[in-house]
Amino acid sequence: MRLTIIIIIFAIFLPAAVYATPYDTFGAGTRAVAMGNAYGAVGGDSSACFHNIATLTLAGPFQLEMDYHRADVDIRFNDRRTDIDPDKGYRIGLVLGKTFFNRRFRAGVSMYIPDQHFMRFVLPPRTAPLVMRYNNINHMMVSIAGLAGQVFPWWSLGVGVTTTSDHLGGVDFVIGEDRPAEGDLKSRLGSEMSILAGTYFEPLKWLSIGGTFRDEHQQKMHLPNKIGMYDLKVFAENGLIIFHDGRLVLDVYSYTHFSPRQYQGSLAIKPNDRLIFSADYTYYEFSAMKNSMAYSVAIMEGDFGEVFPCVPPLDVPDPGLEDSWGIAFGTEWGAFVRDGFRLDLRGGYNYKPTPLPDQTDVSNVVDSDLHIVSGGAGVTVKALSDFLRKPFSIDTFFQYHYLEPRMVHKSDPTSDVGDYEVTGSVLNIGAGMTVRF
Amino acid sequence: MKLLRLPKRTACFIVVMAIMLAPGIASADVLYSYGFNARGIAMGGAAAAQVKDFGVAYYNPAGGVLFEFPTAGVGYMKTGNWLETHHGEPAALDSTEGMLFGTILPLPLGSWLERRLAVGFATFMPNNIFVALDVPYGSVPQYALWRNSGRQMTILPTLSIRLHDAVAIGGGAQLFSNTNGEINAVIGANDDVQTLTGQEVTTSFAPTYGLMLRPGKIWESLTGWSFGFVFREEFWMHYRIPINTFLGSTPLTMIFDATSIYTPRQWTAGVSYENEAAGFLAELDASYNEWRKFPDPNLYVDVEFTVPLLDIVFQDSEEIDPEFHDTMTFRAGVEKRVYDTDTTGLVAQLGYYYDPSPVPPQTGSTNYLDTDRHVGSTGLGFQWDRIGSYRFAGPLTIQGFYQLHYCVPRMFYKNESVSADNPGYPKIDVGGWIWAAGINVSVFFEYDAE
Repeated sequence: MRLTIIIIIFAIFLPAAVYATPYDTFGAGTRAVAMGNAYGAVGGDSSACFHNIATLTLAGPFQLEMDYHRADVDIRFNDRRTDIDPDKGYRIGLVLGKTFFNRRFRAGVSMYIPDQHFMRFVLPPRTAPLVMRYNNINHMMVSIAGLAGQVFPWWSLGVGVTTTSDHLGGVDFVIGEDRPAEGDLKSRLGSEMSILAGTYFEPLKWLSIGGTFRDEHQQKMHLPNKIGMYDLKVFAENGLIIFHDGRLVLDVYSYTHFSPRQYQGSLAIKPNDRLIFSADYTYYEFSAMKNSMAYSVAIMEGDFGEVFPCVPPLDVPDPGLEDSWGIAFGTEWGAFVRDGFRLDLRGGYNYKPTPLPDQTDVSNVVDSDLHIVSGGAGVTVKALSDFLRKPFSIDTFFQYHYLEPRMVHKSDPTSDVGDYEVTGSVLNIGAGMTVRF
Repeated sequence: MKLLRLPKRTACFIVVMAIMLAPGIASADVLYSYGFNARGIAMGGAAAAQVKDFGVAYYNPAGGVLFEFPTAGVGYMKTGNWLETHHGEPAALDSTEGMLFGTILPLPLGSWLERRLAVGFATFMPNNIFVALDVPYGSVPQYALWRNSGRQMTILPTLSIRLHDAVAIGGGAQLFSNTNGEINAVIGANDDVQTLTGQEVTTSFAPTYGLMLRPGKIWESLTGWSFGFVFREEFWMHYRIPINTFLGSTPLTMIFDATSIYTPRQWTAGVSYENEAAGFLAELDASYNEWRKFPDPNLYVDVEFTVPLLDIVFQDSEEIDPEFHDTMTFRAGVEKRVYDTDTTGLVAQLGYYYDPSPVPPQTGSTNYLDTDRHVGSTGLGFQWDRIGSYRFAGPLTIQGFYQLHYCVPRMFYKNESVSADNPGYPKIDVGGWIWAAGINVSVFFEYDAE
C-alpha cells in the first residue's frame, strides 16, 4: 500500500520527462522547414530568430509574417499507436529595421502559439511510455526576440532571448465534514530567459557562412502543497472521532521542457539567383539535462503520520541522455522566374540520432534515430497592384518525420511495460504568408 | 483497522487533487489600476481623445492610424504603498515592477489603402513573472482589487482604420489565459492504479473598441478638439480542475474553481482640446465601470464523495457574493510645453482622477479592504528632434511620471453574525497611500525605402 501511495503521487502529480520546444522539433518558418531547417546561412525572415539571428539583416525593413501548421503523430509502441494529439498552431513574425551609416539593423520577433492554449501538459503515469520528442512539448508558447546588425556589409551579428516559464506554487487547504472547505493558494508562472546569438558572413558572393549558439533552457516546477483534514467522525451524533486532524506537506520538484545548449555551423551556396544549397550541423548538449524525473518529499503530521508512515521517494533513474548532433541539408530552386513573379521549389533532409540510451530500468522514455524529409513551394509576387508595393509571398511545406524502429530489452522482468519496440512517423504540413512594406 | 483504509485512500486522493492546483483569484489588471505609459499616467489617465504617443494602443486603439509616422516606446514602472490598517490583522500589498512596450505601425500601403490601416501593440511585463497569484482565505484581510493586479503579463494587439480624416475606428484584443484540466484515476480492488492527468493554459481574449473623432478636420472652428470613445470588455482568468476518480466502485469527484484578475467592463468617453501654437493640451474623461459582476474571489472546492456505510460527507466551500457595485471614474489632465528650441523641448503634465470604491461595507466574514481614491499625477518629457545630424521623424522623448493615490480612510464594523475569531472583528479599517513611478523612451521614425 505504501508503494501504491507513492506511485499515485508520482503518477498523477508530476509531469514525466518532456523535452525541447516546438521550434526544436519542427523548425520555424515555412521556407525554413521546407528547406530541411538548413537555414542558418539563408535567413531573410523572422524565423532567423531561431535559425540564426544574425541573418535577420537579410530581411526587409518591415515584414509581417504569419503561418500555420498541423502535425499528425503516428508513433507505434509495440505496434500499437500511441495516443498523442496532433500539434497545431500558428507562428507570428515581425521584422522591423533601419539603415544607419550604410549598415542594416533589424529587430525581429518570432512567436509560436499552439491552437487555443499557451501551454498544455499531459501527464501519464510515470512508468508509462513517453515519446520524448512529441509528447507535450509542442503544446507550449515560445517567443524569441532579438536584434541584429551589420558590422560590415559582409558580416552581421545578432543576439536574442528565448522566453519560457517556471511554475511554482501550491495550496494550503483544509477539508472537513462539519465545516466548509477552505484554503489559500499561491501560484507563480515565472518567466525565464535564455540567450541565443549568431554570426553571418558572406566571404564570397556565392558563399554564406553562419554560426549560431542557443543556450539551454528548462522549465522548473516546484509545487509545495499542504493539505489538512479536520476530525472525522463515524457518526456526527456520538462524536466518536476515527481520524484526528492531520496535515500532509508534500514538496514536489520537477524539470520539464528541456532544450539543450546548441552549437550550429551553417553553410549556403548560391551559384546563381535561382539556386541555393544549404547545410547545417548542430551539436546538442543533451547530457546537461537535469533529471526530469520528479522528486518529492512528504511530511506527515498528526494522524496522517499514523496512517502514512513516511517512506523514501521512488527512485526513478535519470534517463541518462547523451550529447548528440544533427545534420540538415536544404535546397531552393527558382523554378519559374518572370518579371514580378517567382515560383520556388524547396526540399530538405534532416537527420538526428537519438540522445537517449536504452531505457532498461523502470523509466520508459521513448526515442529513436530520426530522419526528416521535407519539401515545399513558394510564390512571390513583386507587387499587388498599387496598394502593396513590395513583394508578397505565400509559402507551403510538408515535413515527414520517420523514427527508425528500435527494440529495447528491459533488465527487470517485473517491469510494468516489458521489452518494447518503437517506430513511427509524423506528417507535418503548413502554409504561411509574408507581407513586406 | 478497516475503518482506516478508506480514509487512507481518501486522504491520498486529497493530496492528488491538491497538488494539481495552480492559479487562483482576484483583482483588476495593472493597466486598469495604474495606467499604461508614462505620459498617459501623468495625464491622470485622461487620454482617450488624443493621439500623441504609443500609449494610444491602450488608451484608444482607434487613434493609431492617425499617426503620420510609426512610433515605438519602451519603459519601466514601479509601484509601492503606505497602506495601513489600525484595527484587525494587517494586510500586505506587494510592489509591482515591470517593463512596458508599445508600438504603433501605420501600414505603408498605396492606392485606396494609403494611410488607412495601422497595427499596434501594448504590453506590460512584470519582472520575472507571466502570472503570479496569491489567494488567501476569504476571511483574511486583503486588498482584493489590488493584490494580484501587477502580477500578470498583459498583451494587447490592436488594429485601427481611418474612415475619414475626421473619423477613425479601432479595436484590440487583450489576451489572457484560463486554466483547465482533468484528472482521471481508478484504483482497482488489488490496489493497482491507473491515472491520466492533463492541464491546459488556454488562450482567451477580451475585445476593446475605440472611436476617435476630430471634427476640426471638417469644421475649421472646431480645430483642436477631439472626442474619444472606448469600450473595454470585462475579463478574468478562470481556473477549473475537475478530478474524477474511482476507489474501486466508489466515485470521488472534486472540482476546484477560481476566478482571478477580474477587470470590469468599462465605457469611457473623453474630450480633448489642443492648441498647438501655444503648446497646450487638456482632456476630460469619464468612465463607467461595471464592477457588479465581480465574482467571489475565493477558491471554491466542490467535493462529491460519500464513504459507503459511514456517515461522512465532506462539505463544499462556502460561496459568498461580494456584492460589488458599479462606479464612475472622472479624469482630467493637462499638458504644457514649457521649454522649446529648434531641436529640443520640455513638456509637463498634470493629472487627477477620482475613483470611488466598488466594495460594499465589509460587515460579514470577508475582509476586502478598499476605499475611494483621489489620484494625482505629474510628469515631465524631454524631447529631441535630432541627435547630431540625424533628424527623427518625430521627437525622441524621455518621459517620466509620478502618481500618488490617496486612499480615503474607511472603517468597517462587523455585524453580530461574525465570529469573534474573524481577523476583522469587531472592526477593521483601511487607508493610506499608493504610489507609482516610471520612465519611458519613445521615438517616431520613418520606414526605410530600400
